Amino acid sequence: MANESSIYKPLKGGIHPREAAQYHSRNAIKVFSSAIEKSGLKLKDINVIAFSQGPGLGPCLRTGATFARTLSQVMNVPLVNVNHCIAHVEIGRLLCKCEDPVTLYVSGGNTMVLCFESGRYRVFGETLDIAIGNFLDAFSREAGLGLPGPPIIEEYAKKGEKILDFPYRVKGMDVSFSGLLTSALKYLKKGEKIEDICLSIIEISYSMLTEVTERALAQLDKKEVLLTGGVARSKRLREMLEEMVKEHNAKFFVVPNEFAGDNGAMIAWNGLLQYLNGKYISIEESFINPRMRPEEVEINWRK
Amino acid sequence: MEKIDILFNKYDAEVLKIGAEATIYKIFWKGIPLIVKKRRIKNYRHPKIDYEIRLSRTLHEAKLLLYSKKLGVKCPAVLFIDRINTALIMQFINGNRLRELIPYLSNEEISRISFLIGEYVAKLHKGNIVHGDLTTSNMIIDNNKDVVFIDYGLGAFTNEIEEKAVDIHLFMRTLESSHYNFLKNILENFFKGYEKILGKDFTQEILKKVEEIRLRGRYISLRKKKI
Repeated sequence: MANESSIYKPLKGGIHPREAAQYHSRNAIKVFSSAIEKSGLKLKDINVIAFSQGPGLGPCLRTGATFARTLSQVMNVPLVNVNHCIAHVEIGRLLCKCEDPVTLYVSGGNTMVLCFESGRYRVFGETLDIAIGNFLDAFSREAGLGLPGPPIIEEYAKKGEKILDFPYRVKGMDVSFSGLLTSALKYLKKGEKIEDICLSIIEISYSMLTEVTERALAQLDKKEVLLTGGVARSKRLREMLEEMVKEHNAKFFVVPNEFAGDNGAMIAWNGLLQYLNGKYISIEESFINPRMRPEEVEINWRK
Repeated sequence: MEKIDILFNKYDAEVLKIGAEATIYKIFWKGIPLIVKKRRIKNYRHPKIDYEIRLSRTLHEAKLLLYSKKLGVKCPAVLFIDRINTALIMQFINGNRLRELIPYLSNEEISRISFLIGEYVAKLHKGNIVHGDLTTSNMIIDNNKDVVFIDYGLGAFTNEIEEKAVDIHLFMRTLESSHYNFLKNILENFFKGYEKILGKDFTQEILKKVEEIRLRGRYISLRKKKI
């Protein structure tokens, strides 16, 4: 197996969708060739192409989908549409060997608690505004600490001494981070110590995530928790979840670092699962869907 | 039996229920039975954040109970608030949970109680409170055959119709999952009671909202599964 990637990094500011998409189209062939080379396969060995249908940035999804359609036509193999969020869960289940976990999926663009219930992956809780990664990156950038946000902020947090007052927003099983970002930037302007701000936002935002995961775990009466997505690399978040999971006598799993962030292998693996169970689409149906929900996908590979 | 720290004393306590966040105990104080709802320490949280969350939620719940009573909706009276142990010490309600009682009630009695529940929920909504967890386990029929609402832990002060509709939706969902045979009778009288307090127009409006919420994918499928 090969899991190749090339990631767009803006020179300054946040991600510009058009520029990210242009970067992707410039690098698609290079990444594809190196994946083929690394895996030692020939083009004719490939019998299915999977692509991410959504959710995500429209221009970037479109670039990927166009590339996938082209490959599928040139090689004359079927095309499989994969939901990005579900792919994160499935690669986690594969690599951690867990059966039926409550999944906390945290990344730059998504924050949700997912669980499999009656034929579909249901969203039991999610962010009402911005994602955790987005929040931490935005703060880190504004404070001039650099990117990626979470590890840098956690490093600063180690030297923090006091917890400042911040809004703690958990509504049922949903969370909200935009108020935290606003207050953090206000503290920054007021000249509070950066270490204290970092400590506070890390502790508060991760507590919120742990609490909603705990609620889902208790309500659904499951025995496993899976942490996935780019922010799954965070040491502090892992610690908190581990502590919480222990109290519930459940098992805790974290996706290996290489497969925590967005990666090609997860799309390929989920595509394979779907294809083997007879679910693929024609070129005409292969629209992207930037706001695709996990609930939209009928899961035919799980009971 | 367990020993708990409350109001600078230790009490023998019987555990009634363990929730995700709090534990419910029954204690005796000078021979009087009382309910203690104690929010537990979460070790994963920073101690300061943990305490502040527990405290603010305890105070919030006490406030909701107080306002609920003011609006004429029966609920346990808050007797003490223990800020150190983040616990509410409340009146013990003598009676039975509606959930266990329903199979033994006559149709007329179910109609009467449903009408009453409708009135009470409407009174809360009129006073801009949502209960947040209107299940039949959270309703006690007391010795006067009146309905008492308990557990305001998920409640909120709000004037948004959406949240009020969610309140009703949650109530309907427990009926569908636990009391399906009585569903028609309960709902009919529930909405009669609701309409009596809040009027026809508002009731129609909220019913439309409830329908809208139920059409959102995740609720539909949950409902299907439960039936």
